Amino acid sequence: MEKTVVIAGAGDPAGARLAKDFLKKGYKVFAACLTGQKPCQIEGAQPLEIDPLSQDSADRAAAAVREQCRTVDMLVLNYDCCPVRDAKSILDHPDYDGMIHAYEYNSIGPLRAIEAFLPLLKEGEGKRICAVTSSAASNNCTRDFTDFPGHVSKAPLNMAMNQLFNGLRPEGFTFRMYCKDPEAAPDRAGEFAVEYFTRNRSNEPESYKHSDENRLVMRDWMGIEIPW
Amino acid sequence: MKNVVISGADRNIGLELAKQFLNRGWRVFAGRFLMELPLLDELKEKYPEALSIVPMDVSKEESVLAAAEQVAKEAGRVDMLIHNAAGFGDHSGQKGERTDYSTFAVPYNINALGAMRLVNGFLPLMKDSDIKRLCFVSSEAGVVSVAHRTEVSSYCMSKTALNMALRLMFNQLQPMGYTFRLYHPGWVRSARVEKPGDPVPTFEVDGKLMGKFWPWETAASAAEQFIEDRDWEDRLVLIDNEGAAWPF
Repeated sequence: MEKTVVIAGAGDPAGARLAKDFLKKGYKVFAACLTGQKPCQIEGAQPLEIDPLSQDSADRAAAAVREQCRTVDMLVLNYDCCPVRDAKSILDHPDYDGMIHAYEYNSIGPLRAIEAFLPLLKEGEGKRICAVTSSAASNNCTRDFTDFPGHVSKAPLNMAMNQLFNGLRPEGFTFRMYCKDPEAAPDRAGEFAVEYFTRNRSNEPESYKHSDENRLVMRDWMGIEIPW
Repeated sequence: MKNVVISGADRNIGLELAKQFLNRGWRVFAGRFLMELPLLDELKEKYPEALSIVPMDVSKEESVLAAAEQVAKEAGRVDMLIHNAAGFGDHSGQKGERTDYSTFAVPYNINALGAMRLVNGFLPLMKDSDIKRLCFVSSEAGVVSVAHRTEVSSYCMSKTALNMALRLMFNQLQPMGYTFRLYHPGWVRSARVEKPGDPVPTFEVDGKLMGKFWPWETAASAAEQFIEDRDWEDRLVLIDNEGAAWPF
C-alpha cells in the first residue's frame, strides 16, 4: 500500500530535497511550506501551508490532509528560521525578542505540527516522527560561543522529542533526529535524510536493550551519532 | 567586602541563599520580583547595612539594566552573580490531552533569556573582581540525556535552553577568567507565598509534603559550592545538592 508522508517545512532547499526523495521512493507526499517560504511547487506533491507560530494553522493543515487520506505514516519536521548564524556573543547586545521568535518557530513550531498530526499518525501504519535539526543544538559537543538564537532555540526541541519518545514509543511510534550538514550546498542539505528516515533500524524483541529503536538518538548526515 | 547579586531572592531558595551569604559576611544585592512580599524587608531589618533590595524582573531587559545601575552606584563591583529566578509554567501536556503551547515561551523567557539578561547586564561590573563567578540554579529537568518524563514540559525545555545558553557563555567567558557554577538544587519543597496576608508558608500541596529537601538545606549546599574554589574550573558541570554530577 502507498505510504503517506507529511513534510512540514518543505519550502527551504533541504525540505524540497526531502519531498523529491520521498516521491522517488513512491510515497504520497504532502509538502507544507512554512509561512514566509515561497510556496512549494514540487511536481507530484500535494501543497500545504503551515504558520509555525499558530496551532490553528497546523490543525487546518491536518484537516486538509484528512480530507484526502485517513492516515499518515510519517511526519517530517524541518523548521529552521536561523539558517544564517548570528555573530553576537553574550558580550554584545542579544536580540531577546528575536530569540523568543526563534524558540516559537524552531522548537514550538514542530511540536504544534506533531500535536495536529498525531491523530492521523496514530491511525497510520508507519507511526514515525522525524525531525531535521542541527548539531549546534547539542550541549555536549558545541564549542561555539556565538549564535545564541540558533543554539538556544533548537536545544529545547531535543528535550521535547525525548519526552514525546518516552510517551509514544510504548504505543509503537519510532523517531528520527537528523542533523543536516551546515556546509552543504542548499540542494544537498537534506541529502541522506530520507534514507535515514525510511530505513528501519534493528528492532529485535528479545530485550529492551536489544533494539536500536528503543532509544532516541540524533545522527548527522554521515550517520554519526551526536550526543545530546 | 565581597558583593553578590541574587535574582529571585524573594522567597524559598533565593531568600535562603541571601541569608547564607549574609551570614558569611558578604554584601548581598537581593533581586526582588514580588514587591508585596515582606520576607526581604524582614531580613533587611536584621542586616540594614549588608543587604540591599534591588527591584529586578529578569524577564525584562530594562529592569535588569536598572538593577545593574543601582548596584553600580552602591557598590561599583560585583564578585558573584547568581541566577536563581525561575518560572515554572503552568502547562505540561497531560496524557491523552492536547498540549497548549501558547504559553511555552514564558518560562523560556525567565529561565534561559533571564540568565542572559543578567550576565549581559552585570558583566561590566565584574571585570575588576578577582572572583568573577557566575552561578546558575538549573535543574536535572533540563538534562536531555536522562530525560524521563513522558509529556512535553515547558519547564524542562526552558532549563535545556538555559543549559545551552550557559554552554555558549562558558565557551567564551571561561578563557577570560570567569568561573561557572551550575547547580541542581534537588527536589526542593517550596512554599507558594506571593503577598502579605497569604497563609503562613505551607510546604504542602493538597495536604501532602512534596519534595525531599528544605530550601535552607539546598541553599547551604549551593552557597558552599558557589564560594569554594576548584582546581578544575575549565569544565562546565551540573552538580546537585548532594555533590553528584549530572550529564547534559
